[in-house]
Amino acid sequence: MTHASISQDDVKHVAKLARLELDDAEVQQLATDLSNILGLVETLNELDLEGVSDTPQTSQPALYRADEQRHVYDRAHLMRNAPEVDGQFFRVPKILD
Amino acid sequence: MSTASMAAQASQTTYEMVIGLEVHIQLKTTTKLFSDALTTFGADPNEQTTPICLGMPGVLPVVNEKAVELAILTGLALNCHIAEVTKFDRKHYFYPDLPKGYQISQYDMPICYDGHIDVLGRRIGIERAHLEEDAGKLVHGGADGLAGSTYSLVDLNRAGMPLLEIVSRPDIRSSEEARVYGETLRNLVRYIDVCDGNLEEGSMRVDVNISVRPTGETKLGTKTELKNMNSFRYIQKAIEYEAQRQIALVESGQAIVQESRLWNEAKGITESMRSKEDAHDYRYFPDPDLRPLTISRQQVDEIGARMPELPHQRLARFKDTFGLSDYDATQLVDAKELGDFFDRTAQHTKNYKAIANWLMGDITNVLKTQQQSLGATTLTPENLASMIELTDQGTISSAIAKKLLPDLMAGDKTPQQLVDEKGLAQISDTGAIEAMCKEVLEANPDNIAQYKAGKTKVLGFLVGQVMKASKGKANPQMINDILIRIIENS
Repeated sequence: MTHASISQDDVKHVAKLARLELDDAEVQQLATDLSNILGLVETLNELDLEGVSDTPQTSQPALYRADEQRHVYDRAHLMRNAPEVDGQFFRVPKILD
Repeated sequence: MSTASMAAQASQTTYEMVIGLEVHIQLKTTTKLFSDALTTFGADPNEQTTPICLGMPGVLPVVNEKAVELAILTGLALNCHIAEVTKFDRKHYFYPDLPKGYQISQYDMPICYDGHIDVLGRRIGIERAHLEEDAGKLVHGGADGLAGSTYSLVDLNRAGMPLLEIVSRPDIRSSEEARVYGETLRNLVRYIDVCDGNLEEGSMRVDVNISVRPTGETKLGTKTELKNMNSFRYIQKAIEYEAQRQIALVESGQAIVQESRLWNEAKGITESMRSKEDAHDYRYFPDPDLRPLTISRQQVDEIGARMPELPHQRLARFKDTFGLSDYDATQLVDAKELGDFFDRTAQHTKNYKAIANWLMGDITNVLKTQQQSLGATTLTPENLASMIELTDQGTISSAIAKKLLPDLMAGDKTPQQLVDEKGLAQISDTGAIEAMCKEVLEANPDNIAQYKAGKTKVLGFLVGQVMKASKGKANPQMINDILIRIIENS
């Protein structure tokens, strides 16, 4: 069984997608940490799953919601924890493409 | 002449366009796809949000059953297979229009797949139609657009709106076919009442994938994606321009860059959006918050049984049952409200051609002038039918009927009441018409001579004069006959 590992390049790629700025030490540390986490998940491979089909999620039937409004929320309350608001809007810093 | 054949003259090589459309329709539900926030258009910013739309920690999305039903109905109308099991996936990207860092969409198990619709006599394949949530809206501050902006304002009313993305196969071969495909789709979703089909308000959005290749070549060229065009006319123009741009690049040996482009209507060109393609790594995985949906065949059958008449079925019925021409029937099918009104009026008079003429002519003109919808006027099918019957019976002239129309569209009187009140009944009394004809002829002796000399066209002028004298109430056929009789006997 091969050990899954996260390279430093993987970390940099995901960090870029997530708009995270990491220094070299952090990249190295995260590569090690994330590899360890994946390694831990790999212990699941010890289970005998012969004959068990792939199940992306629980096999319980889905729950549906009726198409009606049940709760009314106060906007000011919902926006209370936002770092910055501007009138009726959330305000976010300059977007980097 | 199409772009492809124009280029052919310059270089001896002929090209064909390969086009596929991705159309997002907003499903007509009361609440969002995964939360009970309302979907009403035009609310104040962030007024229609819940902790789920805002991506608050610890919340759980729950699927709106109505959205799934509308997706199935649309899939059936598109001749698609409906999946027995379908699931939701997370599509990851970091942008403030979706605060939770991913969009809930469907990746490899879409709810509808493998369908088709017929466009201009050709069958266009539908690869898939999948459910997904919409993103919020950004207003960039400190500049006109994103470039140069110093901050952005976020309105999350649209975040979580239920969308069905309908993806065609790359079967479309011309800009006209692309436009008609889009129009056909819009008609369809309006008929089955799953979407408003309003491009300007964004309840329907169209992206176009386009590439060119030498005719006969089977390998696909590099494609570009034209985004967010808000009218079908623009779509056709943008495709024409883009195909020509790509052909010019190929002819001069340059590479086509796979990228997203925007149509600039003012300049009449497409422009690169300059987005970094390597940022498109969506890392899809099944959304663990949402269980897979199992759709029973019984449920599909029940939804299919509610399928209303589709546009192509109505077209055939209007032609077969009412004897309308292809042109008339198409006009009435494309404007659904007029077609509905036609159907109701046809229960009260058998002069179907007249109903079609009124609806597409004078009634449409009044609606355009007053910027009104037919439903907002007081015109009833009974009154329109009655006016047609009064004209056919010769009680009123068609000129008078036209004058009555505004009163019928903004009042509560019947045509008969209006005719009685205003004394508009057509004059069919031979003696009265003869007297008016004589007066007109006495005032225009030259015309009599001209008519006798063979210039029979002057008759039209004379009829018009008598009509005027009668204030539009004289029977025109009788005027015609009486004038000829008097002139020939003089």
